[in-house]
Amino acid sequence: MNRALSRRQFLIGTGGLAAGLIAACAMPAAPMEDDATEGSGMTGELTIDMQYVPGKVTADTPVALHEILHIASEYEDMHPGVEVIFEEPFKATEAMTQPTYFRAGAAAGTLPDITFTYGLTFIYDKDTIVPTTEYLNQPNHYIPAGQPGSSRWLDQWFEDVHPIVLADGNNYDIPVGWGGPGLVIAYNKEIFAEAGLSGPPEKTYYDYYQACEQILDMGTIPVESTLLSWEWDRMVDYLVRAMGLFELIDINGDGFCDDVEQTRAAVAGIVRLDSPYWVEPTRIWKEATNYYQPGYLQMAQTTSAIGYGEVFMTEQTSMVWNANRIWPQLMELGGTDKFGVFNLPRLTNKLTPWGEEDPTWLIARGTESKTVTKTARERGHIDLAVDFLKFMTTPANTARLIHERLGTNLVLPTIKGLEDLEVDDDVKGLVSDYEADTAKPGFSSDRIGDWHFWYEWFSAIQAYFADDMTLEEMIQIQIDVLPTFIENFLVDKELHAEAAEWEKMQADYTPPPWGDYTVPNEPFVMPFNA
Amino acid sequence: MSVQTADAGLDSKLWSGRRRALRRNLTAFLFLLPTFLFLAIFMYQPTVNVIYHTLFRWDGFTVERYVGFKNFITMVNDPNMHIASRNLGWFFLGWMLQRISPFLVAELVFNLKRERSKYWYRTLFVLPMVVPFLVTIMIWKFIYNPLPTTGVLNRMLGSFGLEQWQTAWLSEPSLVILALLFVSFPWISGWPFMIFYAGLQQIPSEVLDASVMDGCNVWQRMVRIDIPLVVTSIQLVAIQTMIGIIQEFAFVLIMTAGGPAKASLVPGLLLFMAAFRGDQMGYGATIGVTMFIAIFILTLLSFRYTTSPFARTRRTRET
Amino acid sequence: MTGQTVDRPFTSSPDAAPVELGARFKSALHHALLLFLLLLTFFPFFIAILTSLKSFQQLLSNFWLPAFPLQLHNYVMAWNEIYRSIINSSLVSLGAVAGVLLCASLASYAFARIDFAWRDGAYYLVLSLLMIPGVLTLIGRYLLIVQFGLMNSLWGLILPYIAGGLAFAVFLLTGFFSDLPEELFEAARMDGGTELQMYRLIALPLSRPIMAIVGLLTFLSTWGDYVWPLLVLRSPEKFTLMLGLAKFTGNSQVMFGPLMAGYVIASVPTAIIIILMMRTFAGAALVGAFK
Repeated sequence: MNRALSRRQFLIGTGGLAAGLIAACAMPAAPMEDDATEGSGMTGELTIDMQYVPGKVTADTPVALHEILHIASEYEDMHPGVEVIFEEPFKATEAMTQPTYFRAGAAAGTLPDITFTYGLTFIYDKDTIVPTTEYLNQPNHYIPAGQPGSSRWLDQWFEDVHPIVLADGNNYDIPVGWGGPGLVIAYNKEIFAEAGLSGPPEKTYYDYYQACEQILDMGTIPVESTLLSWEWDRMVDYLVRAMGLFELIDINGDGFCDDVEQTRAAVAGIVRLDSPYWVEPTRIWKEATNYYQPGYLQMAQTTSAIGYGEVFMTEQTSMVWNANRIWPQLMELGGTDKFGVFNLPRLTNKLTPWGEEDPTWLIARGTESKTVTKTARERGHIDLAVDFLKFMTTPANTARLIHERLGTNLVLPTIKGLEDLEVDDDVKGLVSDYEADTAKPGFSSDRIGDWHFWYEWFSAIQAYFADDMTLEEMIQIQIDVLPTFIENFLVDKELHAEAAEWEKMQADYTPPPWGDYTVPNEPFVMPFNA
Repeated sequence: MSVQTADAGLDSKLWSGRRRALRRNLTAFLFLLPTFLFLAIFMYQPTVNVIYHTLFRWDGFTVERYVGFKNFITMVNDPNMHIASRNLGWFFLGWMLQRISPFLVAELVFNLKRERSKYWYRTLFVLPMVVPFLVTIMIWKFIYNPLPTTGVLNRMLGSFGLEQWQTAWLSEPSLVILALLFVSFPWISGWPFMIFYAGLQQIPSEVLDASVMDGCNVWQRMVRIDIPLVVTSIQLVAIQTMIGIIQEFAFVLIMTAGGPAKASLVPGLLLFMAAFRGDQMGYGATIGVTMFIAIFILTLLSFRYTTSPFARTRRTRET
Repeated sequence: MTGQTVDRPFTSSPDAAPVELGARFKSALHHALLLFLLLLTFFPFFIAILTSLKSFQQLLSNFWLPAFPLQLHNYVMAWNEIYRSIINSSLVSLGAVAGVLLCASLASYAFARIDFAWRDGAYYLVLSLLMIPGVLTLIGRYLLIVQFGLMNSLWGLILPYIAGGLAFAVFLLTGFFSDLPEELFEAARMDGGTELQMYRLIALPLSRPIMAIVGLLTFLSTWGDYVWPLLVLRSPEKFTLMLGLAKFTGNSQVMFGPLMAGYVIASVPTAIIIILMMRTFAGAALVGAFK
């Protein structure tokens, strides 16, 4: 079976160049497409891209993933005539957003039958993806009778991580992995012990920042991180949930806020950038960067002259964010004797008046979903694609995929029936959050406006953090640019008629309970310093 | 058919002349075919395509809606563009200085007495050109590393007891452009040095001897003789630098990605970000076309008010 | 411009001893200044090479001086990480050089030696591309590559590189071909040589130095490009050297030693090529080409 990544391509204008170069540069010959003979449904070449190319080391998967290859192999054995081919994911260089690659692939006709998405937080053009609602209501015949999913595929998933329904009422994605607080923080046990900390901070941000403070008192830099918005994102999630805004935004009630829903919320005034859920996390975050290593403003993971994690690995900081990226090195440098990991903490009211006394619920978001593309439709592969996805999402197979990634990139199981999974207690705790219904899907604040808006937002954050700008000015910049990007979105999706309706909603809508909140310009005071 | 005597000869001559011209044209066409094929596909078509799409809201693939001159209006009002242009102004000044300053070093080397030392200095000064630019950039990133232990510059300051000067060089909005301009200090190694030196070498030795006879000192000679005689080299460097600077962004992308807080944002980077990270190809195209117009006007102006370096290239080759 | 005299050896007066002393002092100052500038120029590279031979512990304890034992395995690590991208870069650059030389020499021969209709117009059509900034066509070229299905393929680099290098190459080569003495071609024409024969047997052999220069310039510009491969290539095994280095730099598996070793290795191919060129006929002409 050919596991090599094959790409359909055609080489143009190659005449006149040296023949040796042709031989050397040409990629494995493009497979001749005998599409005409396919289409009977359950035979043919099924092409898939995974978020991380199987068998390859990437920044996020420092240990290459292999389980999916075994699963595909087993599927092929069960279905003679089927060949599963893994293609490169669309998003593999930092320069491109996944939707851009998706659209490029759609335009060039090179989309695979099944593509990965981030839980469809971006709206794709409807004719490029295939609705899967009807399939989700069919039984998954790979599941033994009586277990969830055997009569209806949809039942396999936990309630709150149901496949996302887009604003048009259709379902397009099959969630495979969901990131909970999947960004693992690693800590140096020796430095922690020196600072008098017996273990990782408890579950809340409060404990995390207090630990940072203790380490800083000792003269050590607490955290290595980059200026990525992980901390901020999660806090916005929590606060949106805590203020009861989530239900207002999520009009189709599927527990997820897609692009249209969020644009609508911005037009209708539900998403407000001068509201506490947006402003407070920024304030807290600025103070939190006091615990970061010098130069965090400049650090980008891919182009810095110091590799990510190096400051931590050379024991110049006590903690590092996104530790899954450096997992193998940590194992080499002393393993679990020397390093421990914990998950991103949660919010309590010790940090803001809008949190809860106990650590709030777990917030999770789609990290890897599968979507059937128009290529499958054109090649008559929809049934085959769906059947493979059913096989892939059985609890047994999902368990294998999840288990493999625990050491590298923590992904939460999204489906039931994984109780026997051999995982560490932290993860078991997260799974039990679903079962106890204390896990909630995120609001995905990073989908308001387009990337351009995010650039504005990010640059303003930098200016604010560098004390070049007050918080008020920063928020004002965001408020100023938001309409432009809403307008662009409406133009792209031809949603002006709907937008007119949304604007009318402003009148009916009672402002959420933040009273006479105004953007504060004084720094946030960490509770233990107050 | 019967009266074709002398006329027929003339006619056939004409015909053969025409046929020869036709054959020449055909030959030339075949010679030019590969070049124009490449240029048509990869240069003319993209240029026309991009210019045309400045009038659209366009993501390059599916969204393509005519918006008239809205992109240009957006650009003129875009605060990012204002910041980027201001930064570009600083980069322009700094890089111009960088590219012209090797002239002084070229003079220093040129005025050495022994041919052997001239040869060695010259070779050594151009030697770092073998290092790819990206590598130089990354080494400088190492120099600017923010940590006091592993940053070259910070460590150096530390060993001189100047800890209070240690800083994260590339994440201070007020410092970042200066830090970027100081990359590859003292800026000698590069093609401007080679051009200046070659220019100095072409000054006829009689002129130099005469200047000595007249008792010129070094400074006078440089200002009165060398600079006027190598002025085309300086113009060439200046124009090339200008064209290069306006569209430069890979350097900034690698060093700071325009940050912190847009303090090192340049128009080229804005184009790159809008087009390839923001899916706003139409807006990116608009920035590109504006840069093209700016380059075009500046180049025309410099041709108008200076001697064309290209004209000079041909002349020098003839000699 | 401290205090060097303009005296050339043959004009200095041997009988003025005090002047001689002052001149010697000035000369020493002159050399000192140049040496200082050299030192500054080489300092970053010196540090890079030094660091490439150290472990992290050695770097922390002994930053400025060589530390022993030398960590040569840094180079092994770096090599394993980037040799693949060196091969890719070589394929791309050599492909581009071959394409540019072939197309440009053909076209330039036609411009310089064949008198055909609209010759000037066609020539200026090519030259006008020198005015088109690369960023302008970036978007258009990217979309073309997507439509042609050349994403993540080395052809997606080679073909646009050929097109991008042609204008300047045609400009240089046409100038050179026009300067070749007409008598050579006249004689060949008398013997009934075709244009293709004259191109192959007369123009090409005589133009080796200028071809070398065009080739070198194309090679260097494609070798060092970062943005275009960043847009076109996706899978690490296809990365060109500059992308490979950037990835290597961002990749957390490296420490300073291997990283700097990678930089040193990456400089070797261009160093070899430039030094070879300097040693051969093209070296002198190289400077002329920039003029």
